[in-house]
Amino acid sequence: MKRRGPIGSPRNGLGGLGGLARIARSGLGGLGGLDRIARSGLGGLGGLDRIARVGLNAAARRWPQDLSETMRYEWSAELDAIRDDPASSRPVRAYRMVAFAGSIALSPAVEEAGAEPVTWRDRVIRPASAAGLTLLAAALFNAVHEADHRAGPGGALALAAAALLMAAIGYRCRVDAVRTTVLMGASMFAFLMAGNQVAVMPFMGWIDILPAVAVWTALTAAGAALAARRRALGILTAVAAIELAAVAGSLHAAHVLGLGFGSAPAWFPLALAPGGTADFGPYFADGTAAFGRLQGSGPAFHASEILLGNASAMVGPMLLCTMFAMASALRRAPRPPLASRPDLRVPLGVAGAVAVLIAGELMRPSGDAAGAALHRLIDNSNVFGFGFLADTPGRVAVALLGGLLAARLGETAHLRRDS
Amino acid sequence: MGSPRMTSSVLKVVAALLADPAAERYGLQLMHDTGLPSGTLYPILVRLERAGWVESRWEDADPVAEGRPTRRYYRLTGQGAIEARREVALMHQQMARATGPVGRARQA
Repeated sequence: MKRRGPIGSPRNGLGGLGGLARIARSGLGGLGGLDRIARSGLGGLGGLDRIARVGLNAAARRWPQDLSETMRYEWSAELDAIRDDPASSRPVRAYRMVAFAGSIALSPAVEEAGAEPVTWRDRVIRPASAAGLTLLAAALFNAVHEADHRAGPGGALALAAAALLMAAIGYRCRVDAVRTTVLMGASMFAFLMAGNQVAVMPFMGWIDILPAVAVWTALTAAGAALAARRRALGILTAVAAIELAAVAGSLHAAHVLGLGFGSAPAWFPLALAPGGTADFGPYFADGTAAFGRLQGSGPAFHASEILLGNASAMVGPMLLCTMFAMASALRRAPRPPLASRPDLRVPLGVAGAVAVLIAGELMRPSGDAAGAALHRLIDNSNVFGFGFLADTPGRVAVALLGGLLAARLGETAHLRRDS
Repeated sequence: MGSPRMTSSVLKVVAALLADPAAERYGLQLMHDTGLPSGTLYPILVRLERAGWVESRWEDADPVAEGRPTRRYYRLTGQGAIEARREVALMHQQMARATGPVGRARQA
């Protein structure tokens, strides 16, 4: 075998990462020979050695491309040193091998050069914040529907206010808009799937939710990515995302209700309008509904009212999440630091959790009123998705997410002061 | 080439390297000296190397003759040692401010 010489010898300076990567890729540092050497004496820990190497190889693949092979070589050498350490007993060596490989395999990879580091804290906070934003959007849209139900035309103003609030939060938050959109998409899917625990929507199974969420997530993320360079195209893509999500999420309903697809382009705007704005499709004169999970009777209705009421539960929160994502994506240069502000993370977190608990108590009775579901579906003012607040674990989880989200907003203000 | 973000883990690594700035250490030694797990240590070493505080080289040994792969050694650069001393001193000053009155009271 060819001798593997020192990398970055005194002649060429102590090796920078670029040099190491080049040599590691050149074959001198290739892993074939290394693996043969590593397997030549396994110190009675062969099975563990193989498992540890699988973990290290998987971790190396997550690291930046220019470091991946170099780090795999380095970790492999250290793993050999642990395995063959004559000063340690076999159980100690086994423990150290598992700890060494496991820590690398489970820890975040180093970021690309010039990027912000990803910490364990980020791993927890980012998905939790996205879930909190999704719940906030759903709660705000339910409040809009309550306003629709009680104040009629006032609902439009309430929707505008909710959209502006989400946009303001998006503008304020320092987040990666594309990544947050993907996380919000995952949260949206979970929320909609869990939301019909008290059956108030007829078409809210995976066949309805999955296409809607997939289309919204993919196109909104694309819009957020485009917005940085081409604002108009980014916004257009985000609008198309929600329009197509409404169609994708209602195809199954349209098929069951006997509605043609010619009206599909109008489904999204009409889903946001009060019931009765436009009626089309088959007419149910006896007022009896037996669609999907919803069984009830009420006034006579058109098929369109069922479809639009059902679609609104999906596209309403999606629209508000879009406002957040695009406001975040469209923000250009970092803003100047704010005047000195105290660190409000803890009080805001507590206040957020308490506010969520109170809001949950207000929404819960509406969710339980399944008997009134058909009436409110027809006038498109149904509240949806918080049936899980009936259980204590559901209330605790939602309060935790609300508290985390509020604390994150407080953190943003605090960091801006420090920046 | 910016300065690395100074966290307690980064301070542990630079303090371990500062104990003997001319000495070269490999990853396991640094894990032992700092008490940091491998998943925390290696990203820090990469960040320090990107910042120019640390340089590395591969062990000058024949893996076939040795029967094991070569290891990678790390040490502070000249500039890295200066910067690291400054950061560690700053940390000591901050700690002294926090514990100073108690210390003086005990001495008095």
